[in-house]
Amino acid sequence: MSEFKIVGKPIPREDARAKAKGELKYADDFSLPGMLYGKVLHSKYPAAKIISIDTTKAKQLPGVHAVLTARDVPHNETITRFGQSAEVGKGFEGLYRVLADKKVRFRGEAVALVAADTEEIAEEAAALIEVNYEPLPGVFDPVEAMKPGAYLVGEGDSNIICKFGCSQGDIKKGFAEAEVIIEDTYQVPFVDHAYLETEGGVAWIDEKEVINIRVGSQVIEHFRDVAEVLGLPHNQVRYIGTMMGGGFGGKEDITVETYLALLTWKTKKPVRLFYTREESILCHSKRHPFIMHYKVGAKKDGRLVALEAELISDAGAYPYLSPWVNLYATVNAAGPYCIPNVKINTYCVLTNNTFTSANRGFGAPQPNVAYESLMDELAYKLKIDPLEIRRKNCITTGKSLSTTGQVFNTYVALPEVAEKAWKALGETKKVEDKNKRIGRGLAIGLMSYGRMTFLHDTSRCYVRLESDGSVLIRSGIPDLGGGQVSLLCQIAAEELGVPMSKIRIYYSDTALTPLAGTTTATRQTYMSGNATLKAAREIKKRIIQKAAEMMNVNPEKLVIGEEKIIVKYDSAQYLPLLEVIKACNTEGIELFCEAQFKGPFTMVPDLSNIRGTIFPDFTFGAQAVEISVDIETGQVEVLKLVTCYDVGKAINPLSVEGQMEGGSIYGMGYALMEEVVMEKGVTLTPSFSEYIIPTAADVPEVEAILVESGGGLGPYGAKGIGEPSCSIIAPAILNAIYDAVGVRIKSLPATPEKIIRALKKHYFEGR
Amino acid sequence: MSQFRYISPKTKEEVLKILEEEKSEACIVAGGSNVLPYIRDKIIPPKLLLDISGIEELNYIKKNGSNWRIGATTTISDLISSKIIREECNILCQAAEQFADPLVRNKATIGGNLADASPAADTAPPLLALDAGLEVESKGKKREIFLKDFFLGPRKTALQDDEMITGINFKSDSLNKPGCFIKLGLRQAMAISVVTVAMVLEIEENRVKDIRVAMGSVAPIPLRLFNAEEFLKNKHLNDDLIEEAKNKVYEEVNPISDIRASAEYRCYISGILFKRALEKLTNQTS
Repeated sequence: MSEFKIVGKPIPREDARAKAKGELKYADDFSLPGMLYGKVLHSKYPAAKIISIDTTKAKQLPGVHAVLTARDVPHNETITRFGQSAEVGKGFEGLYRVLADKKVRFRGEAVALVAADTEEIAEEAAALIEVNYEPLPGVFDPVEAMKPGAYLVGEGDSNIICKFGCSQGDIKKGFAEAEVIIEDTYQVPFVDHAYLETEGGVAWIDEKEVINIRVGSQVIEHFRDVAEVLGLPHNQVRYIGTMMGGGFGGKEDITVETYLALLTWKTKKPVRLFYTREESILCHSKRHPFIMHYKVGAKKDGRLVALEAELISDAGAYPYLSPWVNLYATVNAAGPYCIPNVKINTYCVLTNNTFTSANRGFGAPQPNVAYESLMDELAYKLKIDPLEIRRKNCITTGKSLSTTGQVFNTYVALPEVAEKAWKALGETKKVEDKNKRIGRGLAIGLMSYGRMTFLHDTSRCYVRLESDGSVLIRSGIPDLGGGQVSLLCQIAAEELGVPMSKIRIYYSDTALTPLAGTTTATRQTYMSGNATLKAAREIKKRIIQKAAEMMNVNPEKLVIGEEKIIVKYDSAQYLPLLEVIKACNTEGIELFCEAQFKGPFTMVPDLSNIRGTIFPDFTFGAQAVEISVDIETGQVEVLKLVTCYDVGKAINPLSVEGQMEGGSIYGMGYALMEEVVMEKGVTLTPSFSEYIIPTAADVPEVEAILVESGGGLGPYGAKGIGEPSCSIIAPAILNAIYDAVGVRIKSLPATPEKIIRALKKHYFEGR
Repeated sequence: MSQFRYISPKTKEEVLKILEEEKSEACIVAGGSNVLPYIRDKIIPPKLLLDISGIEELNYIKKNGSNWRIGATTTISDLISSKIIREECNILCQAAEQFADPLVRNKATIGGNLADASPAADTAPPLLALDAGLEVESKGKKREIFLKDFFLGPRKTALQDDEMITGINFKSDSLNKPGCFIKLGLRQAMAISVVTVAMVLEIEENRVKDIRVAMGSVAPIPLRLFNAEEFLKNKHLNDDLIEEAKNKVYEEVNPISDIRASAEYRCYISGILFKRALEKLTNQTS
């Protein structure tokens, strides 16, 4: 297999040097002469009528250039999109409102914008805007919000924004056949993306009257949405995407771009606007909290016969990507198991909480917590080994997903990864401390990579071989820090037989780079990887064809590598790449190519019973942990964490391991400590002092095991790993807690206090 | 961020002179790990920032016989890297090592941690257990305040507007070795304490000859647990006695519920940490 020179090698990434040296220019590392500072005035109530807004005093403050409210926005209300070009119908579209109008729906909603000479003046001006509110009762619990007669968050006649269903078999018959039935409710909280780099950027108008927005965004295709808000043609708004200090889905929706565009358009000056950490936590999207009621039935030998689930999620105050996230949750709700009788119902409900939207995993991590906890419970109840019960029930090659019935014809690695992860825990650690109990937990899962097939996803890439043998790539790909940009360089280098040092890439610019689609949905290795592969191979084909003519051999006998075109099995016979390029250029043979890769296209499914192919493919994985629980304090320490995924082909094993390790810790924070606490719509965790995430000191030994089946749809058989890597660690940890101390934590995060309250019920009763 | 006047005097005398003139208009800043967030959150209104971090004469760790003196601008990292603290006053080293993270420890000072008067200040319980006193100066005047009398409430102290903490002192006595500090936080670094305990103990023939114990985050101020101390004195340590002593602890603490933990959990944990400190010290001394 080792015919690869660059692909599959743990090489330093294209962006590694600049990042290590601190030379990379992130969104924040940029300024322009005469630049103004933007500031957003946020609502101080979660639900209120706006009686009036008086901006007089703010406008009079010296140094203020613009104060904007909803009235100043040409098209204040549009539709939430996320880069898709196919029509998907009303079921997925929600209201996108730039600035609050008449009514505020959540605390932190943008009410007005200010641009001023300095950040201090902008802040002072925002404080001088007089908003006369009439507080409204609001509704903060999705279950309450679903009830008839509940306070209406928006302008519609119901708070329920979507209802999805999925079923197969006969659920009644299934439970009638069951010999053991377990039923329980699980809850997961709001969490923040907690990227190092908050939302922000700089905008200006160039000499062509185009609004340029230099910003960290996962979806540069939002240039269209921004143009529509301003009532401008699409080609008058340009996104220049920067390398990001983390995205995790939080930069998938529009963040500050419309604000920047409006302020620069009104003032005709460059404007800079960055969210503070507090604004990022208070005002931007969160991961959906879910209340998940599950019922599973099995035979005494552990075989699953029925699964019924009702999922209710909190959309917060605006829909954003909620319908999509809930579709993922619905499809993932029965997990990676073969269950003949399944019925899933999912509701997503508006409340006056901070809005929720994409967050790494996109609706998959939530149901995973529920079904993997239940599988564990079933294993204990039936005295079956946790690995055995999963092996007995998991989907294998040729079987289908129990929710949608989508059939898996390529290798399904679930039995392999489950066994590898579980065994890699090795010998049980010995602890001296008499108060500590050791426990182990396992969870398996599957998650899609690539967008929903009814979105008709495409990606483009331009590759050019220069006359000196160097290579130029242009791709619209945004890089979140996951190595997306470097990946394309590696593919082009491999295909064109040149070293990485000879590749130069321009990325993430809607005016100058071919649109590659969003860096979301774990799609870039698959989509843009394939687009780059296609472009590079087209050029390679022309080079080889020419070389074959020059050498007078059959082109099939030629390979490219180390800047030579070599006769297979006879490395002494070759032509330098440069000579072939020269010949091509002399004859006008095109050594450039812009290629488009198309994912599989399907129709929009029936949302009341979602069946068939919804996603191009899935990544399968297993995670196992060994932990200790302090039985007196409830503190959990993760001692060892194993993460094992079939990644198809690891194009850069270092990047893949990085994703698997980072994803594990992302999920570990979800399991043990992260929660955005909201009390009647008020965030009680507005900074990193209250919203705690794992530090380097909390990270355990992580072992990443890569299975490379080659069965993926990406280049060289690669699968996506970004989101799958974080989506099952939480239930593995919950299962380990149960194994250690016999306590089943059913609501995340599993804090020491929750564990101790469960362990020491007698002490806490009556206190 | 608001506009501030900023002065960084080079001598203590200069600071005292400015304090005499500006009084509450001046805000002393050393490491800035509390003051800067307060400015950002508008808890401190715009006024004069008096940066004392550059005053060399306030940065020292001295031991003269059994008398210890630590200068106010001694950083938490200075405490960790001091050989004499590690070897002869380990309780303070334990607390310093669990304080925030290395970056904050390089800036935060012991005087600042006390002057901030947070119930969760990690250097307060060990210094309370050491029966420390604060050297407090104003222009032309020096006085000493016992640490146990210094804290008046959350972010409230016995300091006058024109006064500053210049140093901390305590005595080595038979209790001080080795001492024990236990912190329960919600993660391994950068954790604001849920509960802390600091204890020094002298045992004679399994009898508690003397004990001093203090806790953090269990009351509006860092708390000396005098009743629990009294209860244990001259008694033979055994499991039943420890259980009884825990009840004394429960009576003495008065924690709040906040985002990190409920009052009930804090109360429960104060008993657990108290017991663990006792067990640790008796195992070490026996």
